[in-house]
Amino acid sequence: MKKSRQVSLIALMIICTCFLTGCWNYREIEQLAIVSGVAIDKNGEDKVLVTIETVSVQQDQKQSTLKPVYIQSVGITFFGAIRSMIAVEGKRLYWSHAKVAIISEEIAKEGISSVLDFISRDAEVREDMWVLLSREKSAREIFNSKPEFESILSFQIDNTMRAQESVSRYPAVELYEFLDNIGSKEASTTIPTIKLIENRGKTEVYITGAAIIKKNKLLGYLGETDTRSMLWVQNKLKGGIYPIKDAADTQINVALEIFKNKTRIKPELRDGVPIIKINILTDVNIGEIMGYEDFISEKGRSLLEKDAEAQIKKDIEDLIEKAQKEYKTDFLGFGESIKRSMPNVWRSIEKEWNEIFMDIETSVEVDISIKGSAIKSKPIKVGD
Amino acid sequence: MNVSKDLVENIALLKKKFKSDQSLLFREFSIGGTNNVECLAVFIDGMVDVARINTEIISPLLELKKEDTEDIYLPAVLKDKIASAQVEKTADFTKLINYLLNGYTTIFIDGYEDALAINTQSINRRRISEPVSEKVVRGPRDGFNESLPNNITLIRARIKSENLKFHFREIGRETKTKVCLCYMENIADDGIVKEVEKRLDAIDIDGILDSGYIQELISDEGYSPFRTIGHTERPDVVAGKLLEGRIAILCDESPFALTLPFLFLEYFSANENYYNHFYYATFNRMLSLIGFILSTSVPAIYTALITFHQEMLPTPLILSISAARQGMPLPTIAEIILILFVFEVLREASIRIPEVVGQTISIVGALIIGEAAVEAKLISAPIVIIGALSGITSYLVPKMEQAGIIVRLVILLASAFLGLYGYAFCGIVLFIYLTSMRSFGVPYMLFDSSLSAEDQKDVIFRAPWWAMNKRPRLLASKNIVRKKS
Repeated sequence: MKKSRQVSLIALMIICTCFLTGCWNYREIEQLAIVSGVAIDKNGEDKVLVTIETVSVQQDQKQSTLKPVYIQSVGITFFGAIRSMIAVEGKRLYWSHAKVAIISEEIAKEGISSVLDFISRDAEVREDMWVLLSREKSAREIFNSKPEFESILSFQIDNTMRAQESVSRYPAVELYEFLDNIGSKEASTTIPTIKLIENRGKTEVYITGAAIIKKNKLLGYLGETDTRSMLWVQNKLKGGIYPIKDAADTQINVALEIFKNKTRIKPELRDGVPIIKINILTDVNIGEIMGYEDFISEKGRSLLEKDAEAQIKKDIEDLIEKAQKEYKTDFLGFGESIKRSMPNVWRSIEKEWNEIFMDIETSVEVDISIKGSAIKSKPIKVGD
Repeated sequence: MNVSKDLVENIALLKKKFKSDQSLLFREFSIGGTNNVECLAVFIDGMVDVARINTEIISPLLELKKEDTEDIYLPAVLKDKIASAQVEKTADFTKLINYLLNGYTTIFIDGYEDALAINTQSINRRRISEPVSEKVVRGPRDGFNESLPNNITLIRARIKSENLKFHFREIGRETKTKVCLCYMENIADDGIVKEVEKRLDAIDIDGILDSGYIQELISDEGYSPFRTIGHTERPDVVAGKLLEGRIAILCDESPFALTLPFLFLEYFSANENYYNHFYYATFNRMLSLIGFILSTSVPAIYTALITFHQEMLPTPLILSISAARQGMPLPTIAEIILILFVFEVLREASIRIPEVVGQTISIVGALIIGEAAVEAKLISAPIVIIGALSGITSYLVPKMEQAGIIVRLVILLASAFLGLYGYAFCGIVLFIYLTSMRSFGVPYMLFDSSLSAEDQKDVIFRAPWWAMNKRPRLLASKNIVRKKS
């Protein structure tokens, strides 16, 4: 083919391709309404009430301010409710930066995963959103509080969830993890709960404790201490402060800073009956001694360690008892551990696991090792 | 055409050819005492050194006595008498005019056909100065100027080897520009030399004004924005390349020497690279490579991410860019093309601006583009940064400036249509295109993907000189080992 013909053919192909494809998916960034968080409630029998928090950016003279704008919508499906928001907002909602999904108790009592289907199905919505349960009457009330530290409440919640390891009073569950857990055999998992508190005259958001979800439905709540114990047993504890009241029979409170933990759940067979042995190895620092008592010397440390071990053991045993007697649900992963290490036994007891779990014998062994005491090796001395 | 025996006829012919050309000067004189042989010296004012004409030509000739000029063949005698280093004897009128136009002085003798031509060329040239286009911190500071003999000397002074060969030719029907082909006979590939000579001989053009003409006329990939023949103003660069087995072409009246074959990786090394410490040299090369990638990719990737893949950016960045773009009249792609265009305008204008106004205009440019346009909400602030970043990094590889403009634009358009997929696609096409190019038979991307350690000594890393034992293969296959021991 002649060179000129070649060239014109290629040019024609390129031009046609450009027109035919029409650069789909080209979106100007300022035409997007960026969604940062969503709260899902029930509205009446069958409808879903969706409240989203979008970020509205204003730029005046080199200063850009972010303002949260809330939009509500009702629909029989989540997707339908969201779409109709375009009529209100004008701009197209952009979900890729949404960070938080807050679900109301009502929905949780009936079944969570139904409203989460859209989020996991849609390509734009990220599956690493944090899932939280609202302790207020509805989920949208959470958006009533004005965020203190960030302009957008969802970003503040996002920061709090990221800092979970340092606090360890609530679990941090991302959406994909949550959905994975629900899909597993036992179908029980925990998600953090969020509520509003009054603080210096202002309404603030407070994330604390966990909610137990069994088979897609809300089963109950766990307080802060129980949540920490739960994280301990599940080997998810990575940090946090463990306060000991009246350590070693003194009047002094001591704070231990946890920085490493390894929990092993070992099922064993004793006379053909499975028992669970929980081994906890934690490395801590002495963070604070609220008095003049020598807990740092060898003798003092061992006293402190023993006291801490006893307290932790009690906390965990309390939790296990609650799980067995009150909630009658294995959300601690005992079944999983039996399945992993003794699959034959598991197969035979699988069907009656719930009943077996309620009475299963557990033994908890805690081993605290105090690794350091920050930069001072003596408590504050008070002169005579 | 032949010279006439009659002096008067010759004068008439010359006057006719150079009608009313006052720069052609005639000096008639008679020699041989009472013999009175009429002679004529013709030369072109401004191209000759008049003092030399006086001392070397006219003086000795005027001293000839009658006895010296009787019954002998005068042109031969005069040739011996003239105290000049270059004397030619010819009867060809066309050749004589050629000599005249080259600054020679021609002597016509009445009664004889043969005439003499003596080299008295002295054209005012620029002094040897530091090359403006290629400044270095470390390295010699002499640069080629417009005189071919001077340029050849600069190279000769560096390579005092008998293997260094120079082949002369004249190219250009009207300009008759002297062009010199230069190579190391024991290193350069014979096939390439033959090919270059063939192409030079095939040039048919009326005038060569700069080596750039030759570059375009003989280069392999005529349509490519990437060059296959390099040019440089520095003699040490040329000498270095000659030692690697490359061939240089020097052109009279042009301070730029051509070197061929030119490979892609030569874009990224300034000659300082070989004089500085090898850590620093390696670092500089990597910087150049990063500069090239940044300057061509930054506008494209910015466009692709902002308009197609907003989910890839961290949320605070999305929010601040979204804030900056509120109320902007132009879509992103138009803004970027506008800012790139403005940058090119500034660049080109700053080359042409007379120095007097230069300062003012640059301040005006910076203020207007930077501040006022953003405040007037014509373009958004991130775009100005993108344009500036792209422009400044393109100067990390100054040789690539011309190719960079085109590559940047094409990749930008591809990204604007297809997002990151377009960018990747265009990048692949570019890479395939580059690897398919050849410069005088040598693959353009030679060594770039080679994994042998020997090859890699001079690509991104510059190995220290004590480790560079071999010359680049394919260029110097005749004589690949540098060291004797």
